[in-house]
Amino acid sequence: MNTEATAGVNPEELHAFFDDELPADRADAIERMLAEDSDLGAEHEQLGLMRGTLRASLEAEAEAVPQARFEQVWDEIDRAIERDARLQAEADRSPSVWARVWAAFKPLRLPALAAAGAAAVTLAVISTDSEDPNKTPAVASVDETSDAKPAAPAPAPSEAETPEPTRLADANPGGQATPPEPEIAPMPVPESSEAEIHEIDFGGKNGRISNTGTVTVLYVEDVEATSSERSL
Amino acid sequence: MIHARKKLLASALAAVLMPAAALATVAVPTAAHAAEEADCQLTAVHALKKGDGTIPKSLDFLADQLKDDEFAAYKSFKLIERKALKLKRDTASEARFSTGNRIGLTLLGNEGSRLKLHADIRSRNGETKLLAADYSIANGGVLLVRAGELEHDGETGKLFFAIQCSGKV
Amino acid sequence: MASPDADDQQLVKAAQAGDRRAFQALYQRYERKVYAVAHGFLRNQEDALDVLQEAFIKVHRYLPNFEGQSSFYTWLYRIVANLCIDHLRRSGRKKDVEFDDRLRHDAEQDAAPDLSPISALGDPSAAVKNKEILSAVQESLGRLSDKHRAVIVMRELQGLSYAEMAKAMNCSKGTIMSRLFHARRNMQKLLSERLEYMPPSAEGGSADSMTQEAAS
Repeated sequence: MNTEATAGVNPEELHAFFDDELPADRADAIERMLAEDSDLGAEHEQLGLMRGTLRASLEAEAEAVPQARFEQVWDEIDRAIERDARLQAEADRSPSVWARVWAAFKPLRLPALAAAGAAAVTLAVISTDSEDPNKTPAVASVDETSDAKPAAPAPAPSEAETPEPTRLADANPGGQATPPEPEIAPMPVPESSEAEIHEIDFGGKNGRISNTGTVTVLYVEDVEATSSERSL
Repeated sequence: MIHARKKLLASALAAVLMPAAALATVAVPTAAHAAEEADCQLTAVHALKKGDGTIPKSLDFLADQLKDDEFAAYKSFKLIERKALKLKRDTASEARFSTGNRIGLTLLGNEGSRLKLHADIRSRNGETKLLAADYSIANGGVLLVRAGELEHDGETGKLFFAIQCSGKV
Repeated sequence: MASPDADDQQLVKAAQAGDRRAFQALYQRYERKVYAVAHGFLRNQEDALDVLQEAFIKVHRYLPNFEGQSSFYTWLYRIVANLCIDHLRRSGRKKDVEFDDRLRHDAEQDAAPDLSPISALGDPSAAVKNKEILSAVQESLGRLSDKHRAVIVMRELQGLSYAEMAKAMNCSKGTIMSRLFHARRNMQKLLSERLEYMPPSAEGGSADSMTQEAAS
């Protein structure tokens, strides 16, 4: 008889099983016990219900936030990215004192390194003579290709890579004059303009419905003629 | 004890959930008048993130919507263009905008005092249908669609379409 | 159709090459998910939006170093969890009065609390459309300690493993296991108590019979 298989399940273990955090053999044993013990099964089911309810609640809270707030946050992120790019560009333009010194000594680097290497070898030979003769002398390795270069910074986003928004004039190439605004009779003003959407298709693209209780806004992204080969 | 408590809890839940369920089973829309026609106005609006927050007179009829939280990010609005459509039930009509977008509207009928409509929007290059939706809305209510970025009068902002219809309901 | 993860990889690659629109697309894809996590932790809209902002600024700064060993989603969520935990540590309010994780629910009662009100909720996504129930869940979540709420959000919403949670909270896996167990028990108890106090319209009767009476 397998004591492991028949040993009771402690409550913490059931939770770990629910989270797929148990070793396979113990998980299998508990799986078998669940099938036989209805109380254990019910408790396991409760964990699933609790998880589903929590998820649904937190998602509902997120849905209630107006889209405009997320756009405001994006504006701040965009500004921060611009700031970072500006600072990076400034750092690139004015290299540090050490970078300038390093650049100034470029022609002398190789001979200087070779001399340093020779000196190191000499010192090592002298020191091994006076110490344990079995010790392998430390030899400075000179890697001619290891000229230290500052790591290339991430390229600042280029304006040219961002597709430009459609200019209104370009969308009207015929240059036709806009007809005068039509006469429109005043419309009734309801208390709420919240729409109930019965069916919607966003043409396979990303889209969103935002309902604030008084206003409904549908968000779609236009496909721009210039954007098809760009970016992504 | 547990059984009695379960009953009490179950009845507590039912009391909360019941009104919604009752409304769903009892409410039957009775049309005082079936909507056969509707007048619609479609407005293209440019929304910018800079400005002083004033809503121009030409967009007064959208003031309630533009002051909503949904538009908190925008500080100025400009009317680009307005189109009028007369809808006949189950007959598609279309408005073309100088942006290149085309908006199709169909009156599907009504649910009590709410109009039932179908709206679809084509992309500026005319190749793609960005949106097709069946919806119901209060008579005179405004459905808004944000359709991407637009440069207008040298400024980059977001393009919104406001779709407003009224009929005899 | 490309999987969401494959889509993320494309967007990440493009963003790493400097494409701001690709990065914005990533932001738009995850804005509400990240907000949901942050709000779960912090229970405050403005704080949650601040974390959303900080998270994506941080993501952009470290994007050149992201090699795709984990999915973008997992990497993002780890950043968000860490920011939330830092936020909780920095914030003035201290809600970790339960030094003993078991304090709130009865330590002697190892059996799960009576969860029939939760069972009666039925489908969770339908249940939370009811304002009373949504409010009960939100209130119960708010009454948990910061540490308990953190493990609940990390596990139930973000799906982080015990190892990832242990790293985020700087403790052992064993502590996480125990903490999560007690957090769930507390949540279940709070929710049961909260749902119990919803006003009944009549004594006795079953839910079914009351609904039938209303419909007739």
